[in-house]
Amino acid sequence: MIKSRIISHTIFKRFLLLYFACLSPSLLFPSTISGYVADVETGETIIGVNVIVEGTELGASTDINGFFVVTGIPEGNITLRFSHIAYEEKRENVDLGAKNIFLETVLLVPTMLEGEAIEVVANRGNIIKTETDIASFQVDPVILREVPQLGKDVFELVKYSPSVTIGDEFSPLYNVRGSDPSENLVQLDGMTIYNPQHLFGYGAIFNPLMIKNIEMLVGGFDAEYGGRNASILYLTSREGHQSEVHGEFRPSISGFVGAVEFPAGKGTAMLSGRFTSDIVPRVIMGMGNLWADFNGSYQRKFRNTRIKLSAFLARDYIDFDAARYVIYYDIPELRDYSVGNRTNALNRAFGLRTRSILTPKLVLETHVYSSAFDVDNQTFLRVVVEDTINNIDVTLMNETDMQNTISDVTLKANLSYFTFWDQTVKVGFESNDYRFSNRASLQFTEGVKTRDSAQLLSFFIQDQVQLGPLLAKAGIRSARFFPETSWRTEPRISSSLRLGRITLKTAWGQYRQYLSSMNTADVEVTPQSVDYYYPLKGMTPLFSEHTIVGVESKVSDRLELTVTGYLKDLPTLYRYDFGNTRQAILTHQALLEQGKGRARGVETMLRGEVGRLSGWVAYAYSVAERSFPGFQNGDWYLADGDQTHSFKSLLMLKVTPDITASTTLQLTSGFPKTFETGWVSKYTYDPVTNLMGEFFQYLTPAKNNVRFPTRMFLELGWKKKLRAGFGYRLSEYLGASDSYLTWTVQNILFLRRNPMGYFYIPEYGYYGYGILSLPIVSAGYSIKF
Amino acid sequence: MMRSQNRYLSFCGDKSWVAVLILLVAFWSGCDLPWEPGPMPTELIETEFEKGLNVFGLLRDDGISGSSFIRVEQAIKVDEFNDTMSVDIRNADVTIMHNASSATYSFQFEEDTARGNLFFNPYFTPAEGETYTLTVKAESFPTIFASATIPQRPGIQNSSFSEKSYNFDLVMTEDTGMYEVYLFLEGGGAVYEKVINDGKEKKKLSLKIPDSYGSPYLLNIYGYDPQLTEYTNAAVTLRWNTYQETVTTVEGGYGAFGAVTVFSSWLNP
Repeated sequence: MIKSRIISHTIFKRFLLLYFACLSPSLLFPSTISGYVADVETGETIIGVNVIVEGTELGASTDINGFFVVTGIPEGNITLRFSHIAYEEKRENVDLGAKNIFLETVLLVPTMLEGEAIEVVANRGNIIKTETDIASFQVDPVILREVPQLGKDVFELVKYSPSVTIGDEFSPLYNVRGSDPSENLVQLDGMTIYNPQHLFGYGAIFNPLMIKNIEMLVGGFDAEYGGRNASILYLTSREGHQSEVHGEFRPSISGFVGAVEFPAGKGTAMLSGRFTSDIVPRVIMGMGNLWADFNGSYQRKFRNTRIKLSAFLARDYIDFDAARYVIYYDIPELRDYSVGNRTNALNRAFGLRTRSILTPKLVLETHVYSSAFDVDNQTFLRVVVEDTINNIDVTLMNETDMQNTISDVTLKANLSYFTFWDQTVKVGFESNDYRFSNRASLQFTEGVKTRDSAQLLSFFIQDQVQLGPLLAKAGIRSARFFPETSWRTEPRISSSLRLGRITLKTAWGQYRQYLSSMNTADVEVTPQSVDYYYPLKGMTPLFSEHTIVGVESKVSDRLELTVTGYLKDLPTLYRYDFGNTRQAILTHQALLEQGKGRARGVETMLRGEVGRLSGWVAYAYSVAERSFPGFQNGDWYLADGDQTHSFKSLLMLKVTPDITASTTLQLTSGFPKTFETGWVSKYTYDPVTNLMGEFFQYLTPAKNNVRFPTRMFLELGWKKKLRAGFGYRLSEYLGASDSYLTWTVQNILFLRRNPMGYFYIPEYGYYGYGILSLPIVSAGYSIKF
Repeated sequence: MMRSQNRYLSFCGDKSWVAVLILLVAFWSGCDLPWEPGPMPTELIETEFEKGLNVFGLLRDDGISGSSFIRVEQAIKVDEFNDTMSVDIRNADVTIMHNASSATYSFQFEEDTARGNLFFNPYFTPAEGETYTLTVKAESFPTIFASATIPQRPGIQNSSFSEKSYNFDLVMTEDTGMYEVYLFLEGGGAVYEKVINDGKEKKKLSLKIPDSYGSPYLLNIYGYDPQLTEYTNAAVTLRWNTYQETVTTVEGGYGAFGAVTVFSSWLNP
């Protein structure tokens, strides 16, 4: 009896020991190493550095903060190997013992790359840990400099992602996988930027010279991100040079683009700015125009804490009237003709961000910022047509005036804990305080200014764990939109399974959005170029559910093929009903009609490098549909921006070490548009005189009933580092270190029309009109110091 | 360095014909000329033109016979539009029936270049609170039917003058969707305000009198029924290739049939 009791007690003790060992391997292998990796010259943290524990299969890569964590390291002396294609490999010996170590900052020496392709693949080098961000489009911002035809515009770049479509050539708004433009979130250093684009296709409001990293999540994103349903475009700004003044300046006849980074006391700072005012339209058409943006940041590193102050300002002004241009043509029918817009927009954000390494396994991030956007957008069309039957003049008029203000004060924080099984547990919260002001005047109906406020409080928890070739992530986000009392949850899971050179990825998640934007594409005279934000107070939030499956295959060490399929269910969407303008004057929410949507597609992308050629080629098949019960009998119709087939490529060739040639191609299905069936008079009435008036209105029984022809755009770019000549001598005189000349040829396929619309001309028929009738050749000059 | 540059240049020279060929193929693909109509869109949904009459029927209760009118036109196809065509329908059969008594009033076409070509009945006077039904028939067109109820005459309370404004409470009734207020001033001007009925019984108004005009002498308030309110406030866009909802308050065709009632008050400031 006693013997059996002793035996069972021994067995029980061993079981307990084994249980706790399995539960907490860190008790047996306690060590974790974390730290930053930075450039020895500039001090800038480096993204995508491989950190490998030699002699093991343990490793990690630095994240967007240049931070890495390697867990589960056996105690004793180990060697860490740091490798990155643009830097010399470095080894660091570490004596661990039974403790966790924070290495602070490991400095790498940059290498000179001669004749190599420009690296564009996000996972540079050999990444040990495969990310589970199944729908991530990540590019090095060097592309914005090497491919001049992108116009140094972030949004022009993301259009070459197979997941992105646009609804209008002149609208900067974009759709991601069948969702609406207002469902895209854009953040600069974690600050949400509303309407992050200049007006009418003049590009993003972010100076490419200050961008360090561009990542776009087009679905399946983590519980950390909330408030938008379709995509997250996350931009990281540069930190600044720690020891010298460096910069780049690009003058032109219409303005300048510049950036300078420099040491500032014990920290670093960066200032950048752009200013554009086109002289030619100002002189010829008297068209007032101004596009400007300024960005500044200050970063300081304490021992375990980094703080970053960011400030941002963008201003747009345009006063355009085609009548000032038409006067140069003697067209009697266009007498007293006026069409255009007058728009004022102001965008600004200011924030303070901290990142503290509390222990090598525990990281705390806090962020407080204020972001605001104001716009007053007037569009107008006025044409006088002679009625030869009744011998009177008929004035056709269409006028709109949209005013919108959104202000967002946000406080957020998250805590990351790195533990066994390569596990990262992240918890956090976010508090948004919103203020809105709106006024919509349409045609002859004067709008009433409404003011509103709302608060959104969110919490999330997320766990990521690596078990051999399997990397799994699960999270949940819970939010409450005050003054509502209910909490709504958004579960999200994703996984990645590495099988040799192939990786299988899956993701599923639910997403809710509490802000809506009024779609004025069918109402305003000029293309919609801004989102007009409204809170969905007292209404069901926008809701979508994503299911994504994908395969990644390493074709070679530097070439990767991905095939991704997705299904999106959008059970809650809203449409603005402009026919109901009587209620619109009372409350803007009365304009909203709830409906649903769905989207599906397959995307294929081959990206990487082959010799001196780098870039990507992508094809996508997609379908996006909408249905609203009070609209077209609730039948499904194609969403704006739907493009069944799209083929896109962006390729760069390092012709010589000093010359980069590039080509961009878009070959896509045309957009669904609405063709009119007829005309009918729209009557007006003057009660004082008891007289009526009238003007013509189109009859459009069905929305998006035709598909425009295939769109084809091909552009070439050329960038050359100057070694001689006037430009080179000028840069030497100015004390610059380098100077560049760029050439672009756009609209190469100028003999092929990409119709933007169709006029009906009596006795002739439909005529498809487009712009860009001739190739556009442009040149640029820039200096770096 | 020299040798490697030669390698790069020779690479370009050997392969440049490929790039030129690709460009030529791309260049000539789908080539079309400015004077041609260009590539045409593909039809996704077969959408037919719905033939129909387009009417604007206005019942006006101002105490004057014959101030109501109806205009009758037709909707036309896109390819029917030209400079010389007329959309007027002059030979339509237009009748208004008083629902309560079934009395029918026939409206006749009158060519009037000042007011437009309209259908009138000089003896017809609508009454407050009464409902009327419009019927418009024309050969080869569907018949139009619509009903409208004359709103209660607008009223005001607690009116007063101050140095720079005329103040009063506008009494709103359920049967009125919108009020247009005109304060006529000596010297030829007027102060205007539009009031949408938000369901409340009264609305305080204070009409500011500009310095450059004389004293107010006449207050007119026009009350629109809900149909006319909806139609006249409907957003319209002239953008082509763009969907817009055609707001109509009649059955069997396009347009509107509604009522407006008039309140007038001479003022002694």
